[in-house]
Amino acid sequence: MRTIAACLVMVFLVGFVPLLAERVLAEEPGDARVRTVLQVATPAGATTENGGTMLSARLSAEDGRPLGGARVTFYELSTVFGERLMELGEAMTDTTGTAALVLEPAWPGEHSIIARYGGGEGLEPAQATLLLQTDAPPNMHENAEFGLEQPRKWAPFGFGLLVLAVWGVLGLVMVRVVLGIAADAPAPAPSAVPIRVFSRGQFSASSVARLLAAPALLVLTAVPVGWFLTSGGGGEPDQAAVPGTSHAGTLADLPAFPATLMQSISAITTDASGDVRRDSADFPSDLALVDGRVLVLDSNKGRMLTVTAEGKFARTFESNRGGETSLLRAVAMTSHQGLLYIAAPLYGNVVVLEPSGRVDRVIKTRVPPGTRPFHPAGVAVDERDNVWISDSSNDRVVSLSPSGGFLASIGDGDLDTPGGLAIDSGGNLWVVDSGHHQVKQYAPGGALLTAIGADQLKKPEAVAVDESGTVFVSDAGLRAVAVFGSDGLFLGLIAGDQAGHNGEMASALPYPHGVKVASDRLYVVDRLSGVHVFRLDGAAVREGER
Amino acid sequence: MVLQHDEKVQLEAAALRPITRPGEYYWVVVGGLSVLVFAAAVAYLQQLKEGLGVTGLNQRVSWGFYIGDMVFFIGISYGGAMTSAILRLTNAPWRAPLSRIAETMAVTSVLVGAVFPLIDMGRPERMVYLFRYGQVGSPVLWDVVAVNTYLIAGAIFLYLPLIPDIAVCRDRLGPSTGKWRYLLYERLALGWQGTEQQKRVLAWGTTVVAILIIPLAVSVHSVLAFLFGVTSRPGWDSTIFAPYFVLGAMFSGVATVIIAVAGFRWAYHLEEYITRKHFEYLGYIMMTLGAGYGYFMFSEYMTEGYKLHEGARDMMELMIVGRLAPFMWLFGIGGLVVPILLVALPVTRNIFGITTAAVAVLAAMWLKRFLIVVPGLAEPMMPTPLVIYWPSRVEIMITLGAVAAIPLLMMLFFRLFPIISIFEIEEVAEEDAKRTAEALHQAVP
Repeated sequence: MRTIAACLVMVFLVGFVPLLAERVLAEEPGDARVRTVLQVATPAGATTENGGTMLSARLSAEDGRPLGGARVTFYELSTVFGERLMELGEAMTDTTGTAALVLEPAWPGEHSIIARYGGGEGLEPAQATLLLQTDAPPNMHENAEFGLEQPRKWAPFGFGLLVLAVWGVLGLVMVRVVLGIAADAPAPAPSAVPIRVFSRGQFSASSVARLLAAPALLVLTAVPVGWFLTSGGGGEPDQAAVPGTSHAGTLADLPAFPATLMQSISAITTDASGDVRRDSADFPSDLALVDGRVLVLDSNKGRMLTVTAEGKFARTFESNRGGETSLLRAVAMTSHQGLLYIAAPLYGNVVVLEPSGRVDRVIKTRVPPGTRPFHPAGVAVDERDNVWISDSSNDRVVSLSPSGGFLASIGDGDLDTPGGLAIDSGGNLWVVDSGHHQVKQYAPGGALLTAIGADQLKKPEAVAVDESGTVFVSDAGLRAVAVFGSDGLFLGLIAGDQAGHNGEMASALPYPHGVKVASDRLYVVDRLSGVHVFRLDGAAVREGER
Repeated sequence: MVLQHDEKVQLEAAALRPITRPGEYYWVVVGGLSVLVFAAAVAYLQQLKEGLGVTGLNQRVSWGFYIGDMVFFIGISYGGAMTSAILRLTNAPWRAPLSRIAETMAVTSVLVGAVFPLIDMGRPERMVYLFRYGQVGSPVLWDVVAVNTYLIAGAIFLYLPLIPDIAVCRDRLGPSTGKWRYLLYERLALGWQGTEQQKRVLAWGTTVVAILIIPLAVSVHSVLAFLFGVTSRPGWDSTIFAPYFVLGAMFSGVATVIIAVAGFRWAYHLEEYITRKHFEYLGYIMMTLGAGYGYFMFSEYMTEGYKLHEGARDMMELMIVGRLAPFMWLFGIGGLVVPILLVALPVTRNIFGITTAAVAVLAAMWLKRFLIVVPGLAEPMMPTPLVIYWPSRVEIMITLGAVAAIPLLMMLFFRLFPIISIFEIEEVAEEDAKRTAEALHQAVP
């Protein structure tokens, strides 16, 4: 017995005591740490032979002093199998505070690059993002540089010639047999049905032309039909052909809406040793404002975080990942009468939470089956406690009774991948129509009232409407929040621009999603960078517009 | 011996019988086969409307019945063309009554087989991307080029020996056969009168195409094999795959020729021209090819099974003692051993026995295609469970429709053109007479 007791004490001392000590020490407020600034850019002309792009991150203290010997990790936002950060690699900063890494993009187009510094002794963590355009995919393979290189190069030509030779021989055989037989054929008897094509004396240029006319007509018809089918007629809708696709839509093109970035709460926080803390947010998606508290939906971890008075995240609710209250991958939340309503995709339930994190109830939705699994992307609750949910997979918005019973469906036919929802002071429903790059307003009965943003929005995600009717739309394509007057006029963008070290302006919102507005404050959840609070300085502008 | 006038008249009557008097059950059979083809078309329309989700295909096993069907149908086509071409080039006189059925079977089955890649695509209109963005280094592009070239060559190979017989239709059936049909015969006969010059040109063209079609058919099935062989999947990663496929195609093709010949012989009363001798010769060829196929299979499994690399080990276990073992052993015994015995043993070496053996070979070779295509994809390459594939009702209906389409197309073709080659039978008889005369001349100076 004594031996067992001694072993248990040893296990406790060796295992738990250091862990406890670490937790206690970690929770203790450390010394005031120096704020760090991380900026990421692509140096001009820094393209490698393989089509790779040089990524450069510069880390400095708040006073501009470069920080060398720090580890910077580069990520790329991947949407394959859900949104997540794909680690590209790590690099150490040199004496100028610069860390560099070569990105070899696997696809052409837009790439969201994130650089993170986890913090260190006396230094705060920092994050920077960069939107990169690559023109063409690089070669993902290297040709063998050995003796077979030349045969490999010429083999297609060799085989191509062989195929042409075979076709040539077949054509020659046909021509020779046809001509040979026709040459020895008797002249047609006057009473017989004339052989118009191949009989002797009638094998003329016009008959050959008639022979060739049919296949030529076929080819001439097939080519435009094929072109039509592959360029939009039968294939995926062409981006340019979608109504409302923005052709402008860059920060430089669109005016800014007057707003001041008051506070940013980074998604990633680190402890004193620079390790990422457990209460860091992993792809937060939405937020809600209840009794002056800001609650954030931590999507990839399936939990609820509260923003503390110190501007940090604290865990409020941690869902059972497989249970009926699971919030895993939930992207839509709203508050109503002091309760939080979260549309959870795992079972299609609406989980109702108190701000303290206690589960009030679970609304089990009874939605008519669509062509694809039900996928909630937006949620709103009206005055009668009915719940509205946008089903992005089935291009519809459904309304449900407080107990989850199906009431009605709106938007059938005029919505494409609906996203966030909001209800304005008049009880009208605002729906983000992501596929059509618009935001649409519906009467409570389902009638379409208006559609806005066709010329400005690129990838709208969520919507909020203030008491005066001003509409705020988060747009991941614009990397900003677009503001529209109550009359639908576009007023400008809120991006919280920050200066990069290469002199270019960069958005503080690399991937804005959830957006809420309260009096003159705009709260935005960015899926990469965290929560940002803006003071709206444009009230006068809005009044002026009206 | 040159055919006498009444023999020639009898031959022409027999060859033209499916055109003039197809029989009271002709339209019943055509109707029955059409129903199956129509059901397949309806099933395909459902697939086109709802997507590949209506099939049993899944993310892992993306090739199932459809690709197995493609390999199978193109394979049997190859057997038809090879039988006719090789026998023609080796001047085997017994080939003459069989060649038309073999060549028609070759063209119809490749037509049916070539449709399956389109059926396997959820968005068939995107086939045009193959021509817009085709990669020269991709076996898929090689496959399209090879199959289409082979199809054109097969059609020419069918058409050239048909010219004199079309002229027979033109001359014997006359304008009474109907304006459009007569016009068709007139045009396709090219003014054939059977002059020496015409015979010389036709013999030259037929010989060239017969020479060409053998490597073409080999290339088609080699390329089909490369679709699998160049893919790093357990069971496919084999250097023997191309000749293995070629031999398998010939094996199943000869079996199909036997079944088709037996069927049309019975239906159109061709017993006088297609005799037990023809079945025995075809049976010997099938038996030899079967033995060769068994040897290739043994060689493949011996090489893989001795090393037992990780993927191959699981595959071997699955096929020999695992879940697919009943199918594999059914193929080995029912598709190789039993048919070889049926042909080898004198007591069963008759038309019924050989035809039974051919049916067993054909069914077993279809099963073998399934066993090549599906387990190679189902077997995981990462530590994940084995994925089960089972065809849906749609896939089964489309496959049955394709099986029905081949005899249907052949019956419709023989409603227009002679089922046996009158010209070749006459030609063989003339050559036979020449040889006899020469032998007599040498024996009696």
